[in-house]
Amino acid sequence: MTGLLCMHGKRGDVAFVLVVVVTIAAILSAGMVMVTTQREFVKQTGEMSRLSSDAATLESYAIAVSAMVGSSEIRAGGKNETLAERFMAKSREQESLLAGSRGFYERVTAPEAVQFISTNEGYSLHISAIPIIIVREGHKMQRIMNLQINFDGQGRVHKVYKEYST
Amino acid sequence: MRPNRRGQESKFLTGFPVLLLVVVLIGIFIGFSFTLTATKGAQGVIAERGREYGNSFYQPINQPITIGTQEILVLDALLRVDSGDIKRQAFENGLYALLAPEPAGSCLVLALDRAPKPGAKSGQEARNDFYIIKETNAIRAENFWIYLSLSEPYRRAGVFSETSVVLHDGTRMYIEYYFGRCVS
Repeated sequence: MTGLLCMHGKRGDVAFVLVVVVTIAAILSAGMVMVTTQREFVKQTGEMSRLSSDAATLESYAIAVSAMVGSSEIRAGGKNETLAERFMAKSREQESLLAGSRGFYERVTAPEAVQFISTNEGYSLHISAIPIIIVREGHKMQRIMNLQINFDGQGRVHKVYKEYST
Repeated sequence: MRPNRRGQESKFLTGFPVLLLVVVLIGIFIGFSFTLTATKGAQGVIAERGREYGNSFYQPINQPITIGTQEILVLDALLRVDSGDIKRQAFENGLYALLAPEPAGSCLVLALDRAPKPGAKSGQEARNDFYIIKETNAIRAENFWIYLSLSEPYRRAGVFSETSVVLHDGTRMYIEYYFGRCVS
């Protein structure tokens, strides 16, 4: 009887030791996977961060140019019906060395993309589907941005809305 | 009974650190998952108030063209000063307008180069550095030859902001800027 108990005890120990060994092995392998994944992730994050920062710069540029030209055309006076035309004509005169700005200027001078209307509060400029495309070292980031800028009656920027199309 | 108690103790001594490790690893995994979720970012409509998006180089300034003047962004003008399309003096004159509504003792510091921290360069390399001061009766530009000593207090105070832009030809240009009360 005592021998049987001892045997049971040993079998239990072997199983427990196996559980411990397998758990440690699992933890170590999981840890290794995590460390290698994190290293790759940090690399990818660096690239993504630069792409994202360049895209943000291009977006800010598009907003700033649209606000500048829109505001200038409101202050210049003239018929409200010709605001969109005048906005597109002025935008064509702008030149930029900034990468990716060509897509913006092509869009901002396309009649189907630009709506510039008079509202109760002032003026509202809508530009649809502005391509924000950044290509860098084999990586590419692409967004399509819809922009709405609300101006007051004097051409001061009141609110800016941006929305990404899918 | 004694061997059984010893067995229990040794099982506990072996098992406890393992359990502790498992708990710690689960904690790290959960933390990691939350970090990944947070980096996905927001989508949809983002509303901004006017001027909140604007740094000093997203402000419009007037630059002379063949006939009259044209309103362009400081950023475009700065890049065209570097490419030689716009003269340094004309660009500085345009920057004066940004300081006009500011109180005396305001400064605009702007530097552009192909390497990071463009404002740290000295002498000849500082051709794209601009230091504009609003004084009580006038607005004037400092000579860029002494830019290094002028920019040092700003660097020490850690008030410079830096960004970079990519040009059509793939060149990355770095811009350092400061717009506010002069630091000496």
